[in-house]
Amino acid sequence: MAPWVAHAMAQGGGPVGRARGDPGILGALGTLGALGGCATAAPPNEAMAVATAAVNRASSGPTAAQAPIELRRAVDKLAAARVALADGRNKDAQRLAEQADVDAQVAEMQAQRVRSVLAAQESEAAARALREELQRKTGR
Amino acid sequence: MNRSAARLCPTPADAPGAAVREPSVPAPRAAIFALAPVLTVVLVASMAAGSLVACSSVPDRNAALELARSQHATLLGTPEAERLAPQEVASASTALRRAEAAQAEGESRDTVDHLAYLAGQKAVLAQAAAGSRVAQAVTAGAAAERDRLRLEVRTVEADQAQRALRVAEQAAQQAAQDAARAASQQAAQDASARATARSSAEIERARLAASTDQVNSLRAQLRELQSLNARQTERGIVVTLGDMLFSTGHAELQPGAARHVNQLAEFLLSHPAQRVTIEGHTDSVGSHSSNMALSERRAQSVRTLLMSKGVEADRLRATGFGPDSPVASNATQAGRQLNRRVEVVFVPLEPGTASR
Repeated sequence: MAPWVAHAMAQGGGPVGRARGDPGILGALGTLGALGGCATAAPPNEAMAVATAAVNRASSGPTAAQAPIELRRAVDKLAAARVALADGRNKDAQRLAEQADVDAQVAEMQAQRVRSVLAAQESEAAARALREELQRKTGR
Repeated sequence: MNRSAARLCPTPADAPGAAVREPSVPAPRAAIFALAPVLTVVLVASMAAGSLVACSSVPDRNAALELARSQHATLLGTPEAERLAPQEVASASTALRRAEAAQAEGESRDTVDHLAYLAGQKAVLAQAAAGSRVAQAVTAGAAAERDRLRLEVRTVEADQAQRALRVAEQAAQQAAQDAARAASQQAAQDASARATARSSAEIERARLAASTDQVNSLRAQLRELQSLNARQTERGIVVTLGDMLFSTGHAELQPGAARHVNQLAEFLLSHPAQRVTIEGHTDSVGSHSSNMALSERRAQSVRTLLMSKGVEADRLRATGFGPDSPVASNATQAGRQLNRRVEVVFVPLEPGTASR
C-alpha cells in the first residue's frame, strides 16, 4: 500500500460525509483514491503545464468573485497533481492535472455565465426604464 | 489496478451507500444552472462512492458515469445549447463516448470514473457556455432595444421641443401681432384723436380767427368810415358828402371833392361785397322838378366817379330825392347848406357775406 493514501485520507478526514463541505479537497481525494497505486506512466509534463496555465488564468481574472467554489476545486486539484507528481505517481498526476484543467474551465465559464446574466439583467432594466420614460413622454 | 482499488475499499459500514444516488431527473435549465456546483459536488462524491461501490460487487453500475450521462442529457435537453455552444457540446459528447467506451471495454473503475468526471464537467462547461451566450444575446438584444428606445425618446423629445418651439413662436408672433395691432390701434386712436383735436382746434382757431378778422375788419371799416364822417343810422352806415363839393346849380364835383371820393372808392375796393346806395338831396330853393333832376345828376356824378376808380357798377345805385328829405330847416342859410348833400348809404351786408 502506498503511503500517500494514508496521508490523503488523514488530510481529507471522513471519506464522503464531508464532501459537500469541502468539495475540492474531497473530490481530489476521492479521485486520488480511485487512481491510487498505478505510478508506471511517464511524468505528465504537458498535462501539468496545461493545467497550471488554465488554473493561473482562472485565478488571475474575475472568476474568484463569481465562481469561488469551482475555482477552489481547480486550485486544489492542481496542488494534488503536484503532490502526486512529486511522489512519482505519474498516472494520478496526469489525471488530476486533466481534471484541474477542466475544473478551471468550468469555473471560468460559470463566472462568465454569472456576469453575462447580471449584464443581461442590467440591460433589460435599462431598456425597461427607457420604455417607461418613452411611455411617460408620449403618454401612451 | 482493480486489485489496487479493491484494497482501498473501506468496509461497507464506512461507505455511505446513501451517497450513491440515482441521477436525478433532468431539472429545468435554470435550476441546473443554479445547482451546477452542487451537482459537481455530487459527482465528486459519487466518484468516491463509485469506487467504493465497485468494491461492493456491483461492477456494472458506475455512479460517476451515470451522473455524466445525466448531465449530458440535461445539456442536450437545452434547446439553445447545440446552437450557442456547439464546440463545447461536441467536446462533452466525445468525452462521454470515451467514458462509455471505457466502461464497455471493461476498463478499470478509476479510469471510467476519471473519464466520466471529465465528461460530466464538460457537459457542465457547455451548459454554462450556452447559458452565458443566452444572457449575452439578451444583453445584445436589450442594448439594441435600448438604442432603439433611446432614439425614439430623442425623436419624441425633438418632436416635443419642435412643437413647443412652434407654439412659442406662434405665441410670440401672436403677441407681436397683438402688440402691433394694439399699437397701431392706439396710434390710430391717438392720430385720430390728435387729428380730431387738431381739426377741431383748427376749426375753432379758424372760427376765432374769422370772428377776430370780422371784428377787426368791422373795426377797420368803422375807422375808415369814421374818417369819411360816417354815422350809423337805421338805414345803415351813412357817409355824407357836403354841398361844398358841388358848384351851385351844377352836378360836377369840385376838385376838392376828389379826396373824399378817393377814400370812398378805396373802401369799396377793399370790401368787394359792400353795396352802396348813392342819394342826392337839395334844398327847397327852385322848382321841385329841377331840384329832383339836380339831385339825381349829382348822385349819378358820384357814381360815375366811383366807377372810374374801379368799383363795379352793380354795387352802386344812384337815386335823386330832391328837397324831399331835408336834414335841417330850409329857412336859414346854414340849414339849406346842410340839406344840399349827397349821402352814401352802406347797405347792410347779407348774413354770410362778411367781408372777405
